[in-house]
Amino acid sequence: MKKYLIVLFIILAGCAHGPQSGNPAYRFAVDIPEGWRQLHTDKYFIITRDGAYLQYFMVQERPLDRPFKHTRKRLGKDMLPQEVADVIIAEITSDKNILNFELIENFPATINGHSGFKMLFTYKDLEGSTSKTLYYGFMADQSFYNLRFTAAKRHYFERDLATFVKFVDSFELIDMEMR
Amino acid sequence: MKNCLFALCILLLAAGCTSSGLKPLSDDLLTSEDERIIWQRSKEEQKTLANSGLLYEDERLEAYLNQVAKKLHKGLPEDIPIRIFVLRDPYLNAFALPHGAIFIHTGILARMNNEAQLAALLAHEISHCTQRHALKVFRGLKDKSAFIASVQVTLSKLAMVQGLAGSLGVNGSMAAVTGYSCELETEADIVGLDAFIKAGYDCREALDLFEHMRQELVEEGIQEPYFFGTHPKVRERIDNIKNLLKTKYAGANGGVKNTDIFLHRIKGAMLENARLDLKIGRFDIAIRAVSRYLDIVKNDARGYFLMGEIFRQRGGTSDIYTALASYQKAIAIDSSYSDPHKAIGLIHFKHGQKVLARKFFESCLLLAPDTADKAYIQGYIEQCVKDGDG
Repeated sequence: MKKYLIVLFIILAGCAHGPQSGNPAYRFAVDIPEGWRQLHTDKYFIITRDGAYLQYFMVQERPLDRPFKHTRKRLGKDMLPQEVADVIIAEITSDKNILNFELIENFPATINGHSGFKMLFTYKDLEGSTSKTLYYGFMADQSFYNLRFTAAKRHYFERDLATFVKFVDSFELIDMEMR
Repeated sequence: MKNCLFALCILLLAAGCTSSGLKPLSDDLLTSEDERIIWQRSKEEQKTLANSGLLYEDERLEAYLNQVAKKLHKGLPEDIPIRIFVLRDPYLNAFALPHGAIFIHTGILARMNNEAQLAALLAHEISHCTQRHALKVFRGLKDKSAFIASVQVTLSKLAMVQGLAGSLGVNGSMAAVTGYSCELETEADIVGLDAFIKAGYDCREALDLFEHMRQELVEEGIQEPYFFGTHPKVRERIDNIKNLLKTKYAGANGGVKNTDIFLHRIKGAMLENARLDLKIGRFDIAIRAVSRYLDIVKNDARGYFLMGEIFRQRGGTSDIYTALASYQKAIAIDSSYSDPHKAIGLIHFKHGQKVLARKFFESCLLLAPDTADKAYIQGYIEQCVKDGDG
């Protein structure tokens, strides 16, 4: 496994908190598991082994002041991880494309030394397929980071869970350490 | 995808269809292939909604709503079996599927004042079914492909509508998202108003419903789906109803409002809707709704807890004090209710009052040892112990 370092300091040296649309600035490093490939999107770091419809790992950094799409609630720097998790749940469950949302677990968690949360949930999409997601989230500096694994509930989730745990363990915030 | 395209075709038709001279319902109901297809698809959409987790299930409320619908249905052709359902959705909307399944959002139900207003809404929706508006639209469909592109552009601008269109399918999209053409909406208003008055309801409430909702939308600057929000002719429809009340129904004064029974029946949906408004961050609307709920249901611990949650999460300068007061009321009403204990603990915890915080976290766990967020609370307690009194 090769350490895959994604550090794009480009442009954003002076505007790290601005919107990222079309110009992502990944400020983290993470191990890409063997056999997984990165999908090219403007917004997220996303990898899959068998195709995004079957499974994907995603890492997202979002500035705290960026509004959500489905809820008007905002993240605040003084929020506890549980409060952040509540906002994320509100956002997910207000999305009309997410049906039959079921929260299985919501626990405190530590990610790369940062206090955060870990949620496990299932949902159906509009076509009726059931997916399962393991979602880690934490705040650092002026951003909210989340690492999530979504897969078809049957087969793929259980099969790739251990790989995702390793993926999360390998996650590092680069710029935080450099300061 | 097939559903989507079909929906898009139909949606557009709603913009400019004409009446196609349908036979009376009893003559050819479901004898034509096109109507059979529409009904079949409607039933599938109903099934999708039923399995979506979006239905607000309250047997007593449903029985009540269906009872009101039955009163109205007497004044209309009765061939189509009408059935009312409630959807957990805070936006102001209601829609009818062609085969008689009518869906009312908790958002609109929670803002009504009495049964007469509910009846006005139901009468309108039932009329869409009995006048077979979906079939009229379908038969008016000529050039399907020409419409698709422009609908896609329109829908793509409305994220919420896209979501609705997706989960509702063909008929639901037309009924809930775009609405029918002005002519068909006006027809539903006229036929519905007639059934509403025949059922003995207070005719002033029909207007009040529209006016009240329209004003609220304007005040809040809320973008809502079709029923009250985006239809460009709402003002015109209000004027039409006003004219009818002044002319055709000039003698119809007074009538039934049934305020108490209505509020009693919808109170649960009202609280649920306030939770939904809180979830989407419409704090002020949620506060108004819970205040209304607490006017109806005095001394309700869940109501006060929810009020506390809204203020705590809104996080304004003095909100925290209102939140604390609301939680304390909830505890005073029901001392075994664990959630307000946790919430008070959180407030103290965040303000560095660790001894107090610990006391409330511990009482929460004592009352609900298996609470879903036990791991968080145990973590807070450990932190309090570690930090001492702060």
